Amino acid sequence: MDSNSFNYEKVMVVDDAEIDRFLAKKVLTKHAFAREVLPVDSAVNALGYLSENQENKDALPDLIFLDINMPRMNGFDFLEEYKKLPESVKKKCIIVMLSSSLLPEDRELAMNNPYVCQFLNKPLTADKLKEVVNP
Amino acid sequence: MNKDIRHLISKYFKESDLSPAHAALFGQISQLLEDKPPAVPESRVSTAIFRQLQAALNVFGICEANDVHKTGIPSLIAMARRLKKECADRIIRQQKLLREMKHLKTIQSLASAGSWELPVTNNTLELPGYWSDELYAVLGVVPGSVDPISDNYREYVHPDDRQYLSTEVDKAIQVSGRYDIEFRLFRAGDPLQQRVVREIGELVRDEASGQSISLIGVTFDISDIRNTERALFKANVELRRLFNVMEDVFFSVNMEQHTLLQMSPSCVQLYGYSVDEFFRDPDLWFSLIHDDDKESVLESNKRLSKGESNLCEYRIHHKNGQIRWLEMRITPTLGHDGLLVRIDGISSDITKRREAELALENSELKFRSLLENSNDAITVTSEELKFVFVTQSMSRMIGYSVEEITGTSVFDFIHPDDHVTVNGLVSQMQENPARPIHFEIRFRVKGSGWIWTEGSVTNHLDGDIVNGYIANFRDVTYKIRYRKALEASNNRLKKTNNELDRFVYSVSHDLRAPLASVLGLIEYTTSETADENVLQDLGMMQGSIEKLDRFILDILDYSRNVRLNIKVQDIDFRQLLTEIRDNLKFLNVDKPPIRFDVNIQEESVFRSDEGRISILLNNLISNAMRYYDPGKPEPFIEVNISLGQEGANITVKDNGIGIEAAYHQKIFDMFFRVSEKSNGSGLGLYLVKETIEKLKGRIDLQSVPGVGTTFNIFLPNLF
Repeated sequence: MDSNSFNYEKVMVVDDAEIDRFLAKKVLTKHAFAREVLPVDSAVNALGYLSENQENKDALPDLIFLDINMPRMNGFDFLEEYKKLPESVKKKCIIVMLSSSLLPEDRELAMNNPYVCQFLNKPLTADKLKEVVNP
Repeated sequence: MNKDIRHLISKYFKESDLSPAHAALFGQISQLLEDKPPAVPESRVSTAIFRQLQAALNVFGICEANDVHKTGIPSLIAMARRLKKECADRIIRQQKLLREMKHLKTIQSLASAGSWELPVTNNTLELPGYWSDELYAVLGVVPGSVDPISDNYREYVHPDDRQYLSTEVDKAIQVSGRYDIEFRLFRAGDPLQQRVVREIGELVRDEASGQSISLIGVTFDISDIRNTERALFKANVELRRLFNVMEDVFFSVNMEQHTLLQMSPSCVQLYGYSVDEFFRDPDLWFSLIHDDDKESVLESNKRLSKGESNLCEYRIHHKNGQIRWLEMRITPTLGHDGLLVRIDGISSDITKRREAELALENSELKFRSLLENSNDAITVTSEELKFVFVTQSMSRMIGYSVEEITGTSVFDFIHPDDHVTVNGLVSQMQENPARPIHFEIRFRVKGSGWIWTEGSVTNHLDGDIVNGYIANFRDVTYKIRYRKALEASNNRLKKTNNELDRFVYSVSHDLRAPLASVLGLIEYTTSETADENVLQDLGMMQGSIEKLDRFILDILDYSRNVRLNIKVQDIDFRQLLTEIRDNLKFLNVDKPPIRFDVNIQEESVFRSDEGRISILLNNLISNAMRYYDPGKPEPFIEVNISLGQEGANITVKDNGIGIEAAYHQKIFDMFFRVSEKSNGSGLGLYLVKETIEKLKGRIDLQSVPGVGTTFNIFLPNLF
């Protein structure tokens, strides 16, 4: 892999677990998947960031790894709110669900959402990154 | 002149024809008869009188000797007297004849009998004959309107009887001199007015010559007689039949002389004694009465002397030893002095009726005692839901007396919350008459609250004997309380179970998330270092965490199998096995390659729960991979599936290390592990067994240590 070419410029990781955010950042950086990793500790904050930067195209992430099980607002709740964001935001962001849930129902629900393009099981590994669609 | 003579003269001599001399003669005869000598006793005159008298007597067929010496006065007087007597006789005979003719005519008319006479010459009938008016009447025609000749007569005779009549008539004329036959006539020649007549004919012969002179006869209509006879015969037959079948005994007794007047023969059946026996012994009827009933019979019969009819029932000893019940109805007849002169009665055998009545009384008694001794309360309720009848057991059950309950509304005794139940029962009963409907209802107990009762109630509003809603029920307070407690505890358990399920699921999930994080970090660290010691440590950590993860996954699978409903869909085994194989790749990373053969024969579509089939195949195949035999040159796993109408036959076969026979029964137990070295959870095969049970299938295994293991599974098609 070319060390100078990143798959994505900016990747947001939405996860309540610090260890997962830490690991994601390490893996994504190590495998040159993202030039910049934007860890966010809750869906609420993620929405806040997106909403704040909806006019600032450069600040918006190209891809979002979204956990499902999070306190207060879970991944699916986030998707409901995400729907209300302007098209400019939604057009730029690709959403990949990253969860430890093995429930087929969760996978099905996620894949039926028009903004979700993939569903990955934790932990995030190099092999799994290869499966993620290229921009 | 003597008026008899004058009468005689007017009858036999025409006065106008008499010469004056004769007239004088008769005057003289009259005088003679009055014992007066003729005024002119002159011999010439005497002779003339004599001749006249002689001629007159001749008319009567009396011939006086032509003796002129008898012309003396005494002789003439004698002749005159004789003439007078003959004349008187003749008048009497004529009068008698007239009377008889009139009599005959009346008789003929009364008897509807017509008479006739036909002259016979040389043994053949001559024409015309004589028909009486009544004969015309018998023929139904106006007298004289038809010539009285045989041929005309034959016209009225029924065509089938004409030959018979002719033959009989001929026979009478030729031989017997008499016939007496019956034949049919058509009145007025009308075949619709057929009559039956009896005809008697007699041949009259001349006494001197013996020659047949005429055939005279009488013909009378006997249709009515015949009809009456037939009706009478029929009535007699019916009456006889009636008497034969009549079981009742009729009797009449003369009470003045205390003698039996009559008794019908059916007494043989009723008493076993004949009519004669009753006639011989006037007290027999009484002696046959059962001793216990004699007095009551005598007592009730006292009514008879007051002129009142009597009805009594009593027992008698039949001759055959049986006791029979009798019903006796007697009508008395009192004389004008007010004393009993005669009784007429009927005795009927009512044994069967009495026995039935007694049986009914008996069964009523039994029924009542059953009702009263039953622990079940039994009530009859009117359509307005008022208690019409309640048993003592009802009173015992709720503490109110029978009198307190009867007549009150059921709602007074039923718990307010159950009133709606009662209304529901009523509408059910109205829809299904005569069908018992089950209920559970709380009844008020005197002084101590409520009891639960259970029973059934039936709509018998249209019943033959009892009209109303009939209910029977019992106190089940204890049972109901127990059941309610059981239901409550069951609900609590269900809730707990559900909570536990959710807990297991959520705990498993929450446990797994940090494991995934740790695994990710280990993998990342592994890629960051080249230190052999660190890598070995990391490898052990990874193995340990993967084992824990698998355990949690198994628990999750178990929880889902228990919790989730079966979701039936078409099963694509090829796709399923490919997925399983991909999922299990990691198990085979640092091992020699294991051959994986899949062989599927599809005869029909198989429908079942894909998630669960996935769980069970996953477990069996992963076991086969884990416990492969490293000593064998070519380890393999073979999955054979054949799909038929009934379902799927699946075998998972390997040439792995095998399982000792001693463990075959145990391997499906929860947390059972064959080997300490195995890093399974001990849940895998338990889960397989549970899943197969859930899918209504079955599983067995053949396994030999060192040779291999084969699991045979059958799963039915689900709908």
